[in-house]
Amino acid sequence: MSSVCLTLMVTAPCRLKHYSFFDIGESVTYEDETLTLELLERAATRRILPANDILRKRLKDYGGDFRIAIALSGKALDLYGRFKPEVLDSFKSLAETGCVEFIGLPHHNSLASLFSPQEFQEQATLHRDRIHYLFGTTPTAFRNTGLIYSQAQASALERLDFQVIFAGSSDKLLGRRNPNRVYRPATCSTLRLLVDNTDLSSEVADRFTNPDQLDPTPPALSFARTLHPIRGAVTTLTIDIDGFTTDRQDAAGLFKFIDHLPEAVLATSSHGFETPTRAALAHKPSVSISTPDPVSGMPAGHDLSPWMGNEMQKDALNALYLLEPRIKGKQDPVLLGTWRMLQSSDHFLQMSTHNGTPDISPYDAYINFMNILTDFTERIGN
Amino acid sequence: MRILMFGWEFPPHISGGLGTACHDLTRTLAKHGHEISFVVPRADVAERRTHVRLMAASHVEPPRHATVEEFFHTLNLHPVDSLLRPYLNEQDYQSALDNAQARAERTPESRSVIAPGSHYGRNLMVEVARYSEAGEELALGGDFEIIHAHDWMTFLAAIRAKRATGKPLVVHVHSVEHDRSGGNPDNSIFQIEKLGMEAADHVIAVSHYTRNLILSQYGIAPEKISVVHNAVSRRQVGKVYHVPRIRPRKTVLFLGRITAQKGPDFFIEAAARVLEKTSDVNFVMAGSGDMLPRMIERVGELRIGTHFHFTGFLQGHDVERMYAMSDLYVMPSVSEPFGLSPLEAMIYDVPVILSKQAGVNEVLPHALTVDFWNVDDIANKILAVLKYPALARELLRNGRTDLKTIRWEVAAERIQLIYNQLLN
Repeated sequence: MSSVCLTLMVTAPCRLKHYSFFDIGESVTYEDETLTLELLERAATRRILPANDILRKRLKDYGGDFRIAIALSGKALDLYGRFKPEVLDSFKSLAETGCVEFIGLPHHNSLASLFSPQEFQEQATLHRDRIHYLFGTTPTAFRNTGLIYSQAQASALERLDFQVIFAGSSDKLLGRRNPNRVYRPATCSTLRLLVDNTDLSSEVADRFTNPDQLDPTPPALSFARTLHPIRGAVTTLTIDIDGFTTDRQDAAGLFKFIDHLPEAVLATSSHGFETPTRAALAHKPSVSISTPDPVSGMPAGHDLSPWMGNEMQKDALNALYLLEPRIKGKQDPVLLGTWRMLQSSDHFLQMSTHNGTPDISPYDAYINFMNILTDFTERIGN
Repeated sequence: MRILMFGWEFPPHISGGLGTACHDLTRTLAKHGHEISFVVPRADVAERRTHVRLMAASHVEPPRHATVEEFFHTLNLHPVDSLLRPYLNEQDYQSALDNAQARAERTPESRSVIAPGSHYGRNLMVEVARYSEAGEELALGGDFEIIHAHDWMTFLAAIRAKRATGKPLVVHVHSVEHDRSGGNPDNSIFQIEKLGMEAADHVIAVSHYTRNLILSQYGIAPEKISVVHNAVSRRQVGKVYHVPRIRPRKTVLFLGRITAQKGPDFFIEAAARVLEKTSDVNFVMAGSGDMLPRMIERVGELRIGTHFHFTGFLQGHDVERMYAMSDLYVMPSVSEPFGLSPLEAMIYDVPVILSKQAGVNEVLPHALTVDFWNVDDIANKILAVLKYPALARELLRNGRTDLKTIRWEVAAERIQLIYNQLLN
C-alpha cells in the first residue's frame, strides 16, 4: 500500500507598519501588530479551531489509520502563545492522539538558508526546541520556507540529525522522475528527500475553495479518486489551513474535506495515511538526487525569483544579512528578535514585481523596508 | 482617408503636451497614408512667416524631427490668424490681446493694414466664436471625409464644419475644464465642451480617468466614448543628451505649467521636507504659469532658495537637456488627464514619481505613485529614490519595458478603427 502524507500548514503573516523616511530616528515600531493580530484572530476562530476539532475527532475515530503532519511557523507559535493560547492547546490535543508529526521550519519563515548557514541552523534549532517544549515531540522532518531546497541545506540538516527534508516537485530537481517516491540528497548518507506533489496540493485547494457546481462529488471523494491511480510509495501534499489570502466561504469546504478525507482515502485500498518521517523511513531511497542551484516549490520557475527576482529584493536581503556579525556581536535579544522579524520572507515577496501581493506595491514595500532597515542599522551602532 | 483636423501648435513652437500630442499623432496618421488638413491658430505674424517658410524651404532644419519635410508634404497646413493657444483662460487671453495691440502699435506696416488688434475678439469667448467662422469657411472649401478636433477651443469651429458639410465629427479630449480649473470650472467653457461632445459622432478620451470625468460630468453616452492613450515618440530616443550625472548634488525636476492643475505648490513643500533630511540635492522648477510669482515667494519663505531653482519656460533642446541633467522627475498634478512629460523623462532614464490622479498611470503599471496632497509621502519617495539606488534601477528597468508598448502607432491604429466605424 502507498502512503499519503498530508501536511497542514499554519503560518502567521508578518506585516510591517507604514514607515516613512521621516520616521527614521524617531520611531522604533516596525511591525503592524494590530493588523497581524487581527489576521491571526480571524484565522484562529474561523478556520484553525474548527478544523482542529474535526481533526481530533477523526484522528481518534481511526486510531493509527489516519495520520497527519502539522507545520506551525515560529511566528504562529509565538503569537498564539502570547495572545490566544487556546490555539496551541488545540494543537496539543492533536499531538496527544499520537498520530501527528510536527514538521521543522526555519523559525522566522526566513530565507536564511540562502544567506547564512549559521543563521539557518540557529533558526532550525530554535524552532525544533520550541516544538519540543510545547508539544513534547522533536521534529525530524524539515520543510524550508517556500520549499526552497539546496544540497548545502540538506547537508546542514543531516548534521542537525534531521531525517527527512521536503522539496517542491520541479523538473529542475527531478527531471522526469516520479515525485511520489523517496529520494536521497546526493551529499547525504542518511537524510531522505520527500517531494511535495505541488500539482495535487493545489488541485485539492482548488477543489474546496472553488467547488465545481456541476460536479456534486464531495471534494474528499474526488481527491481519493485522483489519488487512486497514482503510482509511487509516498504521495506528499500540503494544505494551507489558515489561508490568509482566502475568505470565509471556503472554510466550510475545508471542514467538509477534512471530515470525509479518512473515509474516502481508506476506501481506495491503494493508499493509507502516514506521517512523513515514518513513510520516508519505511522505504529505501530509490536514487540520489543532485541539483547545482537551489530550487523552490513556487509555481512557474521553481526558482528563487519570487523573493530574489529583482534588484530591490536582492538589495534589501543583502543589506539585511550584512548586519549579522554586528547583531550577533551585540548579544542583545531585542535587536536579534527584530533582525529576525525582518527576515520574514513575506517582506521580500511583497517586493516582487511578478508575484507581489495586491495590498502594497512592490516599490512601496521596498521603500518601507529600507526605511526601517536604515533606522534599525542606525540603532545597532557599530 | 482625408481628415480635416483642428489642432494646436507646430514645431518649433510647442508649449506643452497638447501640441506634442497633436504633432506626433498627425505625423503617425500621415505615415499611414492619411491626408490631413491641419487647422491651427497662429497669432504672431512674424512667427507665422517663419513657419510658412519652414514648410516651403527644406534647408531650415527643424529642431525635433529629422524627416519633418516629408511629413509636411502630406500635411496641408491652414494657419488661422487668432490669439488662441493651448491652456488659455480669460486672464491669459486679455494679456495676449494687450500684447498683440502693443505689437501692432509698434509695427508701422501692420498699423497701416489693420487697426491695432481690432480683428481679434474682445474676450476669449468672442475669439473662440470668431475662430469657429474659419472652421466653416475651411470646411466648405476643403475635400475631406472626417472632422477631428482637439480640445474645447476648437469645438465650435468643428461643429460648424460638421453642420456645413454633414461629415462625421470626432472630438478628442485631452483635458476637461475640471482638470484645468482646479475645481473652479468656467461655466461657458464647460458648456462648449459639453456641446462639442454632444455634437460629436465619437469622443476620444486620452485616459480612462478622463473618460470617467466625461461620463460623470458631461453625461455623454458611454458607448460613444473610446479611450486612446497618448504615447511618446520613438524618434526622441535617438537624440538623448549625455550629461554625466556624477555631480555633488542630485537634481529633482518639476517640469510643466506652473498652474494649480500641476500641483507646483506640493512639489515645493515636499522639497522643503526633503531638505530637512539631506542637503545634497537640488530642486528645479521648469515652466511658467500664473502661480510662478507665488511659488518663488514660497521658496524664499521656506529659506530653501540655495537648493531650489526656477528656469522659466523651456523648449526644444533645453527641455531635453533638463531631463538629461535630472535624477528624478516628479509630477504632483492635482488632475492630469494623461501627462506626457513623465514618458519623456523616462526616455532620458529619469525615474518618475507620479500623482495617482494622472491618466498616464494607466499605461505605466510600474511607476511610483503618490497622492498629490500627501507632501510627506512625496518627500518620503523622493528620499527613497535618492538614497536607495536599487529602487531607481528597478523602476527604470521596468519602465523601459512599459515604454516599449506605449507607441503612437498603437494610438493611430485605434483612431483609424474609430474613423472606419463612423464611415461605414
